[in-house]
Amino acid sequence: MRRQQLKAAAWFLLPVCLLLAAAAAWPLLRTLVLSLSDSSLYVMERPSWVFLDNYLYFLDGEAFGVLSDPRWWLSVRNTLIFAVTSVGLELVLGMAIALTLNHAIPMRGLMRTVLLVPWAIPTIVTAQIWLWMLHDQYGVINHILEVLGLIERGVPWLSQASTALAAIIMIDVWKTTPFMTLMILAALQIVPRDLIEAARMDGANAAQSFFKVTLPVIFPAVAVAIVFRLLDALRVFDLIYIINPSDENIMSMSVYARRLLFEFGRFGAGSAASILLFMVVSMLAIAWIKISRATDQA
Amino acid sequence: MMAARNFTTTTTAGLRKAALYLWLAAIALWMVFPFYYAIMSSLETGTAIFAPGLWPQNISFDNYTQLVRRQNIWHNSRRRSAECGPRLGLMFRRRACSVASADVRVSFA
Repeated sequence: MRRQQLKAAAWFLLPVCLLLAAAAAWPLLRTLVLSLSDSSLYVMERPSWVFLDNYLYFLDGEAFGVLSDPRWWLSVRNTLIFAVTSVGLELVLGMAIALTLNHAIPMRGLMRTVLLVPWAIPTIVTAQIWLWMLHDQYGVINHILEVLGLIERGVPWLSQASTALAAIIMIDVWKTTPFMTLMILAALQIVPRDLIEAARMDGANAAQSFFKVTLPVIFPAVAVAIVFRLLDALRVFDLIYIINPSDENIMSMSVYARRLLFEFGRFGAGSAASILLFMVVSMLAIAWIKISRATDQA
Repeated sequence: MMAARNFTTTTTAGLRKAALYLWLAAIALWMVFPFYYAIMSSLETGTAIFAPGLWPQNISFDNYTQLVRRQNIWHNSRRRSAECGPRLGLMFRRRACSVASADVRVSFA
């Protein structure tokens, strides 16, 4: 009986396993295999195995490979700054907005609808809108700042090295704060009201009841939102690609990999960069799973 | 004494309320403004788009009619279904589509 059930279960699981193998495992394996070869768009010969040479190798005391490329490390730096800063700002702003919306405030329904606007617009459109609004000559933001007398002439926010990354982080915060807010708002709604009231009765002030009562209750849900956003932010591609795909000051790891793959036609090296990106993201995911298991058991 | 106390509590309550409204307005403005500006830009005509302002000088829906007429998003999707339709055995759709897309062309020309 039990054997039969197990057999039936295996058959029911087969379609999903096949789908996962085709959609996730196969492309990943293929990228891994490509990253060990010198395959390229512009070389006619059959690709040969070069094993780890795409990652790093030394010839006559000189280093080659993705890991020796300063542009790779620049894109790693950009991606880390982008991910940590934007997720941090989204968390703080999302928390503040969610705490406001959790109270019975006027026009609550309207505010929730307003919050959905940035999240509902496709990232490509978002990038184009902001590209236009931040334009140094015709952009409305520079225009407003000029009228207010804060700047003398238009600032090319997205194309000067000192502000480009900050401007991109601002756009991402604009786009993704609603997601954070809605996740935190959903978590806040399961906080029992009598818990807060009891804390208030015991003389806790607003900050104490937030940090000692509300935060521990909503923490698991918020942590999931943070990890999802971090994984998303580390893979950031579309926003940066639309703004400027070849600006090294804002290049993310995935934009770097795409550039090697399709602009330079170096499938081997580009796949190596993709695998390195995959390793960064999966390490974070594995660390998250380990931590959440440990806290579940505790 | 009592009156003074009442006065301060109502003022702080009023200030708190004002701060709350200011905060809500700031969030709403920040969230909606780019969307609003995109819509306003879509109503501009010609080179007026290069003059930054919070609303268009003349409101026109030209860009939208152009989208249908020159880029012809409807026509293209119909033509594609008319081209692929027969292979799928949808002959009746082909006829209906060609008539419909001819109508679109006539009405805009």
